[in-house]
Parts: sequence; structure tokens; C-alpha cells
Amino acid sequence: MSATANPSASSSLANATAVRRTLPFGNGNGNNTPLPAMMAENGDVKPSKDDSDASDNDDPDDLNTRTKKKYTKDRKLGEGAYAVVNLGHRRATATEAAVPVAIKKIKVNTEFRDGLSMDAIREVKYLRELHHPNIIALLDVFSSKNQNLCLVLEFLDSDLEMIIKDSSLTLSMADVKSWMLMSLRGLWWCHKSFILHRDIKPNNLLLSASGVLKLADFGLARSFSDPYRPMTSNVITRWYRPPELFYGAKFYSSAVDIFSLGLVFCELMLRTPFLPGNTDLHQLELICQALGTPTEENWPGVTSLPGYHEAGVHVKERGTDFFMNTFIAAGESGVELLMKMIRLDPRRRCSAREALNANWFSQEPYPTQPVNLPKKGGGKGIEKVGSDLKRKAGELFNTPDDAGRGKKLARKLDFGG
Amino acid sequence: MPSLTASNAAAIARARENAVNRGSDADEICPVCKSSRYLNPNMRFLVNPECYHKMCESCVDRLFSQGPSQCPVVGCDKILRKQRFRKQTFEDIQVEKEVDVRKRIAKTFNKRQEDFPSLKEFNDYLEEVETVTFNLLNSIDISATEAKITAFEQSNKSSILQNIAKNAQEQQLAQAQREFEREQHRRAKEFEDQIEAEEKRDKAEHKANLLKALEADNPDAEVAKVNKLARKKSSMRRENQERRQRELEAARNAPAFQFMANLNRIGEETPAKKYDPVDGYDESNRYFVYRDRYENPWLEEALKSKSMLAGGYLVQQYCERALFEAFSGVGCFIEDPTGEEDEGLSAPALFDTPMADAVSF
Repeated sequence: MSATANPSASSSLANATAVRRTLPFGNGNGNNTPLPAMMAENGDVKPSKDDSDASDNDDPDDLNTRTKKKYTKDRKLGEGAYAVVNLGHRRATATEAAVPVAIKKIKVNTEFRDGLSMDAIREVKYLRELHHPNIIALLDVFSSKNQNLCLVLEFLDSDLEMIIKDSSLTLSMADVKSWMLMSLRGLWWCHKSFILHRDIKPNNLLLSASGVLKLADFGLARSFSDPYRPMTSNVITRWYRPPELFYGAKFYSSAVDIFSLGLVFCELMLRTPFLPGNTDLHQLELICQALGTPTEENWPGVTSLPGYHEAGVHVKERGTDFFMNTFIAAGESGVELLMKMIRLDPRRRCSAREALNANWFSQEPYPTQPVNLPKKGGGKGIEKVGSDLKRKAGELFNTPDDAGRGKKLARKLDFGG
Repeated sequence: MPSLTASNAAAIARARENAVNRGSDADEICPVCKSSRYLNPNMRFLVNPECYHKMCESCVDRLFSQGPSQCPVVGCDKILRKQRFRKQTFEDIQVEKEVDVRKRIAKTFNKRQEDFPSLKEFNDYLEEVETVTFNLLNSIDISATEAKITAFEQSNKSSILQNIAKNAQEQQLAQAQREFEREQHRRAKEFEDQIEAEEKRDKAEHKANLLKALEADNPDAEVAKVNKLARKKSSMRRENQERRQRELEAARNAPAFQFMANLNRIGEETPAKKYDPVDGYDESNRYFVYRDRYENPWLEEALKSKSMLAGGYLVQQYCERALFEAFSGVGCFIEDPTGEEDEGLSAPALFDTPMADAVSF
């Protein structure tokens, strides 16, 4: 917590642009750039390296003002306890046209009396490093007059949850495949960069106007833990949380994200959440019923997890037949991939890279091109994403009565390690 | 006697209606209860697609209200349900049956010509579908045929679903196209009506103006003025009309292209190139290779600890990260700003601070 306690933290973070020399984390070990042509086509914007008004002055305050001046606020999209989201755009320069952006203004001193909220720190920390077509781009960071932190994010007008809930759309298997492919690529990049997302769910998978899916909301993300350094098990929205976290596992890996994405896969096919638990216990019961009860046979060592308890239901771990019956539309190879993603034992789940190698993606029907994917257009989409961006990570709903419930539920994140 | 003739006429009309209802033969009787139309003029006949035996509505009510039961026709052992009874659409029961069978077959055997590489194969497929239909209709090898249908359904699950979606989409598009055309017609008609009304109004105005002009002191000059005004007005109107006509025409043509584009959307999802799982990223490491296992006494405990294993923690990932970070500065030169552009993108990243220790949590 040393960084957050430091009063100058916000201003030094705000000038993250000053450390231009910090190359994108993931671009290491001999990678190509994210295909430039594709970036342009998607309307992506990279922070321009040669600002016309960039002087030699490296004074932090100056830099901040310069960054701030690059953007204008257009209108408010939504406000929550944690942040205000504005729709804005980057001013047109001589060489580039204006680009719409979402400006997320983090409120200081709401929850953490002496610094920024952890979500904001994490979001900045990891998004500054991750550059991939399937991960939301953090374009700039600056601080406003009263020391509020503003994150300039790529503007994306809808999310996967809206698509799933829109009953007027028919989703073909090719569409599902395309979304799964894009989210797996984004997740693969996170894991390759040694970052756990820890909040994969449909409304954190945003969609650009050109149909490209991007991982967003890194408010719960963290880098891979060192050995013997425990992590909190109270992460990931309940419906998408893997069983090892319910058993209080302190040492886990990228397999938790894979499980969440597997459940998103189910949801895309069923058009309704696969395991909508009301409480943590109920959720665990649903997992046991749907996937099987964890035992020492199908998950060696599960009984030694700190929060393990005997489950009430005893179901054998589900085989291919069960999944073939439930998700028949995915075909054999799709079901095979799904089963690998939502195995009970985290060590037997596939990695994002292995999932990308699945036959399913190279078989017919081929993944739909992003531009041809079903879209939900219109003003409503903008408002909804506004509310998604400002919602606190790990929470399911954003309705007023849920906000009340959220207040009562203490967020037990033990950052002390 | 006018009232009598009226009732007579009504009776004749009813009789004619009945004749239409029951088809050609006038004195039909229910094969089950033997009640005839003479006794029960409102009799309706129903059939069940299980066996297509005809019976009257009251028989259906009587026999099947208590739940499913056997067909009352002698020699027929089919179990029928009341819900499945329906009115006969075609007079010939054979036609009725064939329509049902074809409907059912079309649901499963819904391949299209574009699903086949050649016309020959498509024709073979159609022939097979016909054979299946014929067998079902004439009760030849029913069990073998049913097995064939199930096998086909099993092996073509995804393409069947896909073609259903395609058909639905095409229907939707056709519907949209129809609606669009109707709307265009309506607009064109509205436009013509408007033109007519405008012309009429202008003519009336012109006439009034003319009369007024004739009342004036020097009628000739005034009349000439009025005529000139009218000519000007009509030419303006014509110009206006032509412009709007053009606009309408453009509107009619443009979305038609969109419809075509949408129609082409389905089935064009062919991969432009071979599937690349990582979309063009180079995954090779220039400076090091990962090994499966690294000897390190510090890691021994982590590799053995049951709770760490069960939680899914991967020591391998830690080793990869440690290696990656150790080599991430190699090939990156701070003094060389151009190197960042040319070399930097293909060279490992540089870190000011190791990520793990920057913020501790």
C-alpha cells in the first residue's frame, strides 16, 4: 500500500505519459506490433508519439496540462460511487481527426481516505502495459484541477451482456466462435504478460463499433503471484467464480480466468447465465450439480484447501454426454473445448494458448468477421456501458437497491498479502 | 309470403355452406359412431396424423377427453391424443399425409445446393430424400428409414441448425423487402396525389387571378402579367417535382443494394486465410528458451505443497516470468531513440522497476 499512501502518488501516476520509454510490457521477446492496418480499421488510437506541441520541457505539471488539453469532455454517460464516466473526444490535430474516447474520472477520497482506490491503481498499472487489439486501450492519464485522476479509455459502445440479453438478435455458432476467439486472444495476451484479469464476465467484454471484442475493467487484475505469496480468494463475480476460489485457495493461477471465460461461453449459447447462484454456498451447489462434486479422485488435494467442506450433493464429474446434450449446438469440438475450460481441477483446465489451438476455431462454421457480428446500436448502449464502466469491479448489478446491498457486503480484499 | 321466402333462402344458403364444408358427398356418416350429417348438420370431421383415420368431433371428445387411448377403427392399434387431432385440410387423405411427411422431412433434410460441391451430388441427395419420403408414405421399411433419418440428423446437426437460421434470415429479409416496396409504393402514390392537388390549386388560383385581372382598368396588361406568373409558377413546380422524383428514385435504389448485401452476408464466412490462433503475433523468444523444470531448493516446497497444487498454482508460470523479466532489457537501448522505433518493437521490453515490487499487494 506504500504507493497509495503516498500523497504524491496521483500526480506521478497522472504523468505516466512521461515515461514514454517504458515499452509495452507484452511487446517483449521479439513480437510484432499489433497489426497496424487492423488497428486503423478498428478505429483504435494509439497515443501519438510526436505531439506537435511537445516541447523539451519535461516538467510534470506542464506535461499534465498538455495531456489534458488533448481531450475535451462532451457529455456525462454516468456516475457511480467509484467514478464518473464522460464521453469525450481527442481534439483533432493537423494530422489526425477527432477520436471519441471515454474519460473515466476516479473520485478521490470516497473509499480510501488516504489515496486512490485500489481499482484505479490496478487499472492504470496494467492497462498501461497491455497493448493488444482485444484489450481496451488506455490512451492517456491525467489529473484534473482538484487532483482527481482521469483515465482516457478507448470508447466502446456496447458489451457482450447486452448482446446476450437482446432477444431480438439471433446468435449463430459462427458469431459465438468469433467472440470466444477474440476474448481468448485478449486473455492469452494478459496471461502471456503475467497478468490475471480476475473479473471475466459478459459485461466486461466490450464491443467496438466495428464489432471487435475487447477485455475491459482491470479493477481486480493483478500480476501472477510469486511462490508462497498468498492472493485473495474473494475475487471474480460470483456467477463466474471457479470452485477453487470458493474453497478459499490462496495460490491459484490463470486457470481462474479460463473457468470464467468457459462460463461466458455457456452463457453465449444458452442466452442466460449458466450458473446463477444467489449466495456463495448456493453457487457452489450449482457448480456441483452442473459440473460434478469435487472429490480427491477428480481433483487431487481439494480437501486440503483452506475453505473446503463436504458438499451436500454428490454428482459424478460430468462427462462428454452431459455437455453434448446441453450444448449440442457447439458441435463435438466445441464441447471438447468447453469441457477443458470448465474442468473442476484447475490444473487440468487448458491454458488460453491451448484453447486457441482448439480444432473448433479452424472448423466450419468459421468465426464471423468482427464487422459482420450482430450489433446492438443506439443511444441506450452508450448509457449502459457508462454504467458498466463506473460500476465497482466484482459486483453484479448496478441498480439502486443492489447498491444498498453492495454497501452492506464488506469487500474483503486482503491486500496486505 | 315474403317471410317464408326469406327463411327459404337462408335454408338454401346453409345447405350450400354445409355442402362446401363436407365436400362432395352429402350424406356422410362418421365411421366410428355412424351418426350422419342428416342428423347432426354441424358435424365436423377430424384426423390425427398418427393414422389419419377420420372421425367426428363428438367421437374425439368422447374417446380422448380422458387421456390418450387407442384408435377406435378396427385393426388400428395406434395410441392417439386429443391434442393432435385437427381439421383435414385436403380432401384426399393421402395428400394430407404426404404434406405432413414432407413438412417433417424438410425440417431435417434442409441442405441447399450450395452445400454440395457439384450438381450431381445435390441431385443424388434429393433423390435420397425422395426415397425416404416415399418409404414413409407407403410404409416401406419404416424402421430402417427412421434409423436413416436419425443418423442423418445426428451427423448433420450443425449444418441443419445453420440452414434453419439461414432460412429464417432469408424470410426475414424477404419480409423486409416486401415492406420496403409497399412503403415505396405508398410514397409514390402520395407524391402523385400531392402533385395533382398542387396542379388543381394552381389552376384555381390562376382562374381567380384571371377574373380579377379582367376586372381591372387595362385587362390586357394585367392578363399578361397573370399568365406570366402562372407560367413561372408551373415551371418552378415542375422543377421541384423532378427533383423530388429523383430523390424518391434514389431512395428506392439505394436500400435495394443493402438488401442484396445482406442476402450475401450468409454463407460468405469463408476464412480468408489459414486460421492463426494468435493473429500474427510472433511468439518466439530471441534470448532464451523455457525448460520444463528448474532446480531450485526454494521452489521444492511449492512443487510439493498440497494446498498450492490443489489451488492450481503453477510454479512453471513463475519460472517463465522470472526468466522473461531477467531478459527483458536485452536488446533495448535507452540512448538510441530511433532504435525504439525500429528495433524496440521487435525487442524485449524495458522496465524501470520490476513489476512485482512496484506496489506491494
